[in-house]
Amino acid sequence: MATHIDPVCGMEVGEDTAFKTLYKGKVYYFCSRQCKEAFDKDPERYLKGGPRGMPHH
Amino acid sequence: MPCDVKVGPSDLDVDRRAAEADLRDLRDRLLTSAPLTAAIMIIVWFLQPRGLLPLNVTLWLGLALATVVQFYPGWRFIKGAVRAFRNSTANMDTLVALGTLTAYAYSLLYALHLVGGEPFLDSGPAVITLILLGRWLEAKVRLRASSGVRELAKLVPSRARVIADGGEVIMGIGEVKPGHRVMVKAGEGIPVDGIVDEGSGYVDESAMTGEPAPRLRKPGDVVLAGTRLLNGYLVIRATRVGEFSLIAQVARLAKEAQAARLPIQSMVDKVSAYFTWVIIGVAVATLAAWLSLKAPLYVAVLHMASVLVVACPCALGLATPMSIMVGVDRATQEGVLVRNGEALEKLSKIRVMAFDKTGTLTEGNPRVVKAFINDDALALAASAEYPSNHPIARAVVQYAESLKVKATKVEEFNQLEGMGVVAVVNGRNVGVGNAKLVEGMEAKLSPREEQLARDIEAEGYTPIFVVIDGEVKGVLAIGDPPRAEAAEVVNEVRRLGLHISLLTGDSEGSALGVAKALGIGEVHANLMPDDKARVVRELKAKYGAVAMVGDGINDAVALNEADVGVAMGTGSDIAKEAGDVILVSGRLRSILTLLRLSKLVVNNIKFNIAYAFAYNLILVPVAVGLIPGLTLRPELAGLAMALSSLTVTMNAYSIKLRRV
Repeated sequence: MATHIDPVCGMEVGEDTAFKTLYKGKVYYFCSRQCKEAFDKDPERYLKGGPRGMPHH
Repeated sequence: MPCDVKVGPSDLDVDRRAAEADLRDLRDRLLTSAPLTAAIMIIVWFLQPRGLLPLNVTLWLGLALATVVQFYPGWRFIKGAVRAFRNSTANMDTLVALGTLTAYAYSLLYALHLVGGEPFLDSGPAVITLILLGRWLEAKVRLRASSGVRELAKLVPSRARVIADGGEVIMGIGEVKPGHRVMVKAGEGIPVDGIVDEGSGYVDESAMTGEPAPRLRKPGDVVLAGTRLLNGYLVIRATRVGEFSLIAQVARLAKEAQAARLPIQSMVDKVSAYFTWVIIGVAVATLAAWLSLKAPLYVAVLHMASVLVVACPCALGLATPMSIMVGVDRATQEGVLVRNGEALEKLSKIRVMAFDKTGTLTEGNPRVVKAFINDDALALAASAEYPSNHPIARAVVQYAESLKVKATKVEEFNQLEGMGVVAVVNGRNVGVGNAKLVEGMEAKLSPREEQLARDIEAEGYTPIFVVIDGEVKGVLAIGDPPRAEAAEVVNEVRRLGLHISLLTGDSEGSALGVAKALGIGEVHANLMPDDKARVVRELKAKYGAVAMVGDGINDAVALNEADVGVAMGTGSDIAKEAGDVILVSGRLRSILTLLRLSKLVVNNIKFNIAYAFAYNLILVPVAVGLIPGLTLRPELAGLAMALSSLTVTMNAYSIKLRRV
């Protein structure tokens, strides 16, 4: 199965994760609800600046 | 041979056997008492007055026959009286036993020349015969009164044709297991609950649902044991057999309801026990009053015996339970399972009817209600939705199928929580979902599409957008519209003067849409199961008794909180469903049948109680001798009593014959 990088924490995530979002026509995959919510709040921050580590760490 | 599977019919026949044993006992006693009583009558009223028998012989022969009647057929009453006395109470049997024993004792004393006056040898036996006759008729009616429930069990054939190794094997129904394939031919009863594997045909489901029109059943459809295949053939994969079949569950629960003791019955029993003591008091006072008026002893005793025999606490005691039992039976015939007989009575007092929305007022399955889309875009949308199990996705796929629009294979399918789905179909980027998805796809809604979405929301439906390669290509309205019969039911309930309230876990928008379509003013949306129970409590405090109609599983808490909980049957395991009443057929219209039946039962109870009171109020004073020149002999008193309880029974039975 294809894996993706969680744009928030930088972890590797499978496509079967329940936490996904759509931004500018592209699907992003997350390891957790926290990562997804952090991304949804300000996607550009993570897309431009790269992964920042777990949002609650 | 597996013996662990209990077969419905034998299980359900236990109380029938008890009732039949009672009927046989009454018949045997009657067969002794009736000819002997007739013999006494002939001796006393015909042979002796014509001088064909000397007085002494008449007396002792009559007394001998009366002794047999008193202590074999009449033993039933003495036994009952003793049992009641041991429980320090008194009942019907006490009065009959006292009344007949008084007459018997007086006649015996007369024969021994210890008292003067006249003997009344024939009175005691006549009373016993008449009351036995009344009870026998009553037992016969009673046996038929619960026949509807018993008939259910009989509808299931005792054998099934099971397909095994390419051939058919006839098996006893107890041997059929879930997973077996059962063959049913035209004209046969269906022996198991299951899913049609092969064949098709019209099935008469009236016994289960009360619905007279046969339904076409084809592969994939559910069929139920106890229904009848009218034409064609069916191969059914059994899912539930024997006592687990829906019909056996319904029969068992209805029977439990019929056998259950109603709270009101304890009160009735208490009242009739007091009543019995009062009558004994009146009887003693009657004796004393006649004696103090210098009447001969036999006149005083005669009146006392009449008072004891004429009084009929049984009519009071019978009235409620009998009507309810017949009502439960009648309901079963209409596809309504009354699990708690009291509910029939309580329903007449409700002020509010609260409805759950999804699955109760609506079908419960979201579907595409409106579509603004061309077939190509719909095909892409249905393809993208195909892998999803979300109810909205299922609705879109079904809609496409209904238009014969074919879905194709997809790649890169993604389901996005709170948005929708995206996928690549034939190299095109397809998204189906809400406004957030549209935004995520970098697409723009045109003013026309935005207006469409607002209109859809205003009607209580959910707008869904189809985005293809970054452009919005279609708008669908997804919703769960009201059932076809919902408006009629709501209007009728309102016409009956009940307040109507809609309770739902869904959003306000969809709730208001349904409420508007049905003209319901009061809507409570966004409720968790516990919130529904809270709203029911509030409605109770505000308006009075509440009936809640909802899902037997999800709304269980609210159904229990309501004065009467009515569950929409889902055809699943009804024993696990909450609710005092279950609409087995899953038809909302059954609510109206239930309300009419409740009214019928309550009127019946009222009539019976009024009748029983009036009867005693009129005939007891007559028996006392308060009306000058009118003497009610004990045998006539016994006849009146027997007719009285028979009247109550017959009146209750009439519920079965009425249209609801």
